[in-house]
Amino acid sequence: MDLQTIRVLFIGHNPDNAALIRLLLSSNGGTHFQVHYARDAQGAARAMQSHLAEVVLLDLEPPDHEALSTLAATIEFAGDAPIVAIIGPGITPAALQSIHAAVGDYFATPRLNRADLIASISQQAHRGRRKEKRSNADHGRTIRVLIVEDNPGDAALIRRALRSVKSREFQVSHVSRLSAALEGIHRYHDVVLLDLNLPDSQDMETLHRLRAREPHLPIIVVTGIEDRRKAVEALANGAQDYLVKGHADGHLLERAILRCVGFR
Amino acid sequence: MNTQNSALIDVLLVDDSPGDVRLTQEALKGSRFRIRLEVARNGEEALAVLRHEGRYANAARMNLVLLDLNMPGMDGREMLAVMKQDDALKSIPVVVLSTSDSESDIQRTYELHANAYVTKPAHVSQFNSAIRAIEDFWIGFAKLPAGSFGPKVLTD
Repeated sequence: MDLQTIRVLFIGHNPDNAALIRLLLSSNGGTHFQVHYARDAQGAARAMQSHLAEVVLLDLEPPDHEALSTLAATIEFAGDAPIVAIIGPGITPAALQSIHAAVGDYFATPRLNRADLIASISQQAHRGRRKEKRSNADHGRTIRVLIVEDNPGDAALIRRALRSVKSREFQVSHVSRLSAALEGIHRYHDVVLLDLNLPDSQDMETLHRLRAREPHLPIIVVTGIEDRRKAVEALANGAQDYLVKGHADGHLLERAILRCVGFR
Repeated sequence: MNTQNSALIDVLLVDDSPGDVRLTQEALKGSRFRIRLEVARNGEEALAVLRHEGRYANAARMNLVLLDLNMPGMDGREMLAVMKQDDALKSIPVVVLSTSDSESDIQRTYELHANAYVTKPAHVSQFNSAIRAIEDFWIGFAKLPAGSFGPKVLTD
């Protein structure tokens, strides 16, 4: 039988726990676990983009307000990847209930043991793969979309619009800096929705830098309502299409994306 | 709830990003304060609101301004500079809310007399917490200048 690899992303503010998880998941007969570590939600979003973890392992200890907001952020960027949570003993029933509803499985630290953890992660990974296979068979290939957008609200609107498309599956990642997008983008996405004005790059330079790195990647520029002139300029500079912020519903987005992906 | 909490607070949001405007509106909807939000898409529009010009003749006097930096037309820096040189407007607290976390933006903004600089968090849930923290401090905790509350509250 082949040696199976499962990509796991561990999120937790205590690096010692990351070391412990690596140890627990190391050299296990049938399955190889590739563990990436991120300290917080922001680092995790970036790691997720280049690593495309199949299972997210989330350390919620202590189970305070910050942990719950990390959970909320994780649900957002994890996309279809199932989440396995590790929770501490001090958790309130209400917090447990909201965690329970959001994750595929969870462990309380005192009973965290190697066999159970491996079984749970493997099961979640298989569940994720089955789901992906099914949706691929039903709707054609899942389209992997990268949103490069510094305004959290605009990114959320695009996500919402993509979620509303029922006929097709989009796997969405989001980064808020061009530098993050340039790190490992080309291998993992079919199309990029690019805001031109980012904190680390403005205007056409943003498009030029991404285009220089990735000559064949479909890029859809997302502009503000008063920047239609910019949109036309972007098309002349190698963007495949443009969308105007706040005016892109699911249908419009889907059409633009499908057209672009066909360019390849 | 005490009576101070129930005073109507007028907040001007200056932001060209439709998504972030919506996110802010949603975050403020669940507020424990009575907040009336006016939205301007750039600096010119914001100054017109603050000065009750044109179609904003009946706009309220603002108690707090939430200001984005990067906008087409008059951007947040220019608008802040104009506002802080205007005797009628300079006492209104301005909280800059930008996605930039660059040192130079922060430095420049305080040199222009912004009252606070907040980096917009990249994720929705953290964005909501940031808005909540701003309300809690600027509306719930800080004492704002009497003038900025308009004639109704002047007699305090």
